[in-house]
Amino acid sequence: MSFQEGDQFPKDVTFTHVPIDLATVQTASALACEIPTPLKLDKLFDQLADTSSPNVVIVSVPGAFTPTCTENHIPPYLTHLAALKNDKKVGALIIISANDAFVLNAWGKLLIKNEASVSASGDYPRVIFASDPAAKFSAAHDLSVDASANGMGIRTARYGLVVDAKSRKIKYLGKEVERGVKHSGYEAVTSKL
Amino acid sequence: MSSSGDTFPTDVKLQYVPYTKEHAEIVSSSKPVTLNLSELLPGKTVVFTSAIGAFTPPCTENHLPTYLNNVSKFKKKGVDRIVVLTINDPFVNSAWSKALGYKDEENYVIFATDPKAELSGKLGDNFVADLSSEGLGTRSSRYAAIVDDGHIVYLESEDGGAFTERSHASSLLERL
Repeated sequence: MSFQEGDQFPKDVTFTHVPIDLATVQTASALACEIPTPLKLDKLFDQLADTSSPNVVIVSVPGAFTPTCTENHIPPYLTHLAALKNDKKVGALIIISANDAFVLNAWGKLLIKNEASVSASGDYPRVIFASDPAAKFSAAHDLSVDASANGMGIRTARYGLVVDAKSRKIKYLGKEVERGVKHSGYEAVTSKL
Repeated sequence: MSSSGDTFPTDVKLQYVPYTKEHAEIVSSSKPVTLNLSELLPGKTVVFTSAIGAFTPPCTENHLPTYLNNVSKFKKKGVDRIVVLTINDPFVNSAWSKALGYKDEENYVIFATDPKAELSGKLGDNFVADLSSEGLGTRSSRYAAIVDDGHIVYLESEDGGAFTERSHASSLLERL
């Protein structure tokens, strides 16, 4: 079922991820992988519901390490982490794709190292790079793309989604229909927050 | 199951991103190209080694470095190319190869995508691993092969994701 802005975000959505610690990411090796753990969104919403930063931003890309998302899509989010938390009240930034959690973890660590300027005393949202395994969550809500012709299988589409952790309402949904980041880039996604 | 003397399958189109200095950064990538085994294998000695996945702990830490650290030995033994296989897409494999430190425009070692483990499946059931329960789908298992002029001269698969002498580069170097 397709999402509309104003809809309730569904229950029991689980991604998988290897947690990334912003405080130590600068010295972390992209090759040192830990074991992936489930990311239960219900739990995350509960944790953020009564905080001063209840917005959860989900940004989806068709693939880690692919040219467009690496170069244009995700870096603006990572260069604005402090603004996301303090101005846009974002408690968690979740980057997802259908790649596995190991790949997303490596990609996330490298992108954060390259793009984000984080200090030990800074106030930032949680930054999570998570797998939507086999694009199941995205596909169930008309947010997947079939890249089988390129040998990439079913992938998560390029989209941005904002959920209010307290009401669990979808505050923003922007899916790309053409190449580019017009609806899912930092400017579009944060313009209504 | 394939064994020594059999023809190595060539009817699956593999893909990879050739390394270039313009895209030396790990998070930078150019376009994938096709690796056609029916063109690569005739008259050549080619080593294949397959891993469960890019950036997964055991293969990253132990398995691949035994090959990457011994490129000169493989060359001395007359190996024309080393092909590393995973089911990950070419962009991920390219990033992984660079993260492992392999940055050579010669592209002697090719990190290639075995789409949906189709090529691995043609070698036999024990050359694929179903890791769907862990959210990782069907993968190529960890294995290694030496292919001489299209014919298999060494082919050993690991049990599950284990890493033993079967797929260790030194075992292949001894056979060459």
